[in-house]
Amino acid sequence: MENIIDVILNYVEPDEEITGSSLLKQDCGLTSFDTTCVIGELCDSYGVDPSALDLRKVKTVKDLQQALETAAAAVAE
Amino acid sequence: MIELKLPNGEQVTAYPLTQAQRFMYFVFNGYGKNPAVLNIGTGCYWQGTFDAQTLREALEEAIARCDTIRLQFMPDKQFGLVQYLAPDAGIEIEEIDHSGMTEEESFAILKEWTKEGSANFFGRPLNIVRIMHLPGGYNGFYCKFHHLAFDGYAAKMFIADAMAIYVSKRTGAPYPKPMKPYLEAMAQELAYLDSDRRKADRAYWMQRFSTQSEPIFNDYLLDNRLTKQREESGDPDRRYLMLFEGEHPESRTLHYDVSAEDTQKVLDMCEKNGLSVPCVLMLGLRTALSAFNGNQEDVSIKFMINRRGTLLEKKSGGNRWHFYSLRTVVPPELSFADAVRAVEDEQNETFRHCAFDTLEMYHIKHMAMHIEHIEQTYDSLTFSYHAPQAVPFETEEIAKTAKGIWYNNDYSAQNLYLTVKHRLNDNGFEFIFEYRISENPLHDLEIFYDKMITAIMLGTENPDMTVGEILDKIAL
Repeated sequence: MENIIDVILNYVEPDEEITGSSLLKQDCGLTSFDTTCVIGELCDSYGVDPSALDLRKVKTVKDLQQALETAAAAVAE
Repeated sequence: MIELKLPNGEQVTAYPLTQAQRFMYFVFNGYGKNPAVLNIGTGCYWQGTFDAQTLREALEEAIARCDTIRLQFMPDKQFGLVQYLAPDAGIEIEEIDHSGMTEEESFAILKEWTKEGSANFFGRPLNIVRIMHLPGGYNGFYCKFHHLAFDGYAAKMFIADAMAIYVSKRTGAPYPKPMKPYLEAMAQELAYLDSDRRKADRAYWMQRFSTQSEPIFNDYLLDNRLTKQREESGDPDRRYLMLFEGEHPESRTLHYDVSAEDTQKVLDMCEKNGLSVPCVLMLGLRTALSAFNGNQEDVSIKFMINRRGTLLEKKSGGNRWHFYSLRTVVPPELSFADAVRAVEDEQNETFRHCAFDTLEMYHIKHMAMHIEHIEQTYDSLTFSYHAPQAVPFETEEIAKTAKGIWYNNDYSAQNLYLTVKHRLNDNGFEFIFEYRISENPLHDLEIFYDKMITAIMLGTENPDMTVGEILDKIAL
């Protein structure tokens, strides 16, 4: 989780601390462009293709972590 | 980088232009023609308490924190044009009183300032900041920025920073966090040119266009130019328009304000359905184009990406605008919400490869479509959305009076450029069509806007309504 939060903090300066339940848009303040860049950066480090993530279900930092781990597990299989 | 000796004997380290700057310079030389095209004129004004001395101090500190306000340019044999940071911004902040004038008189003068410029802008300061007293009890400041050093995002970032410093000094609110170094962001841009990522982006665009069918031009003029060119050329299957944008760059703007209430309805609908605001606007735009072109399902527009992701990119100024074609094929049975998602998918796909040079991307596209000239186009207009950037004011009462004004420089490098942004005081949408006078599009644009905003509001009221149902309601 910390690595994801570190990447997000490279894009935004939120007033509140970011946690797993923080909403990417409303709480973190990520724009569509930010989100695409954050996901691209994280996908590189997880070794997954961004198109493998079901982003419609990703609302929070924790959702993003789960989506990345699920996609990485699928690649490993 | 090169070591450059300036005419005054001073030695500076200079750098080639970035891709975004080269595109802007190319467009200026080829299509804008008039130096005013490279000017951004803007201002931030409010009624109520005003402390000119504190504002002066805040502006001086904002200038000192902003690298690109010191950016200058010089011709160079190897690179054509190079950029460097001068030691000083060279700005004397004048204080000018228009309070005795009418609003029209004052506005006309500020517009003239925005139009002033020379094609020989080399080796000298390019930006102006002035404290203003305007009619109607408004006070604040006017800025003129050079478009090779600032884009709209960077201009607004400067204004927000200056206001945050002013408010901090006035109220004791926290001083804004530091800005970021331009040269670091520029170095990243230049490093991309020789990177594996660029090779991958190039391969992506080549693959994408070579596997696509040919797009089709959709006109915003009722007297459809594609139909005319098909008849004139004897080619009934022609899908591109031959559109030379190099003549008659004189332009004007057509403004529409959407009420704060209606804007909030759109924002609330986006929030509730997890949709993107610019994609809702782009769907409205493409739906109006569809209505103007026989309910065409295949619509392309050009859209601006400001490419401000990381804090370094957001807070280092500069001009980072790249332009891409956004093509969507939306069947009539798709719901409004799903059609927005289709636009969003296309937008996000483009975001992933938008570091690539705009001009080269269009070159690859033209090669794939077997068309030879840059004047052959499938995109009839350009769209840009400026998301709200928080500009602080001393009190909520003062914020309610705030005005952010963009002064048109009366020259445009493109035939039609639609900018949508949010008003400073109530967050309502402002639609600004910058159009070429020579096209005489005013009558058609009024109808076009009506179709566009109606489509947006119908979809906002009922996101399950199909695009076909919306097209029926906005039929010509």
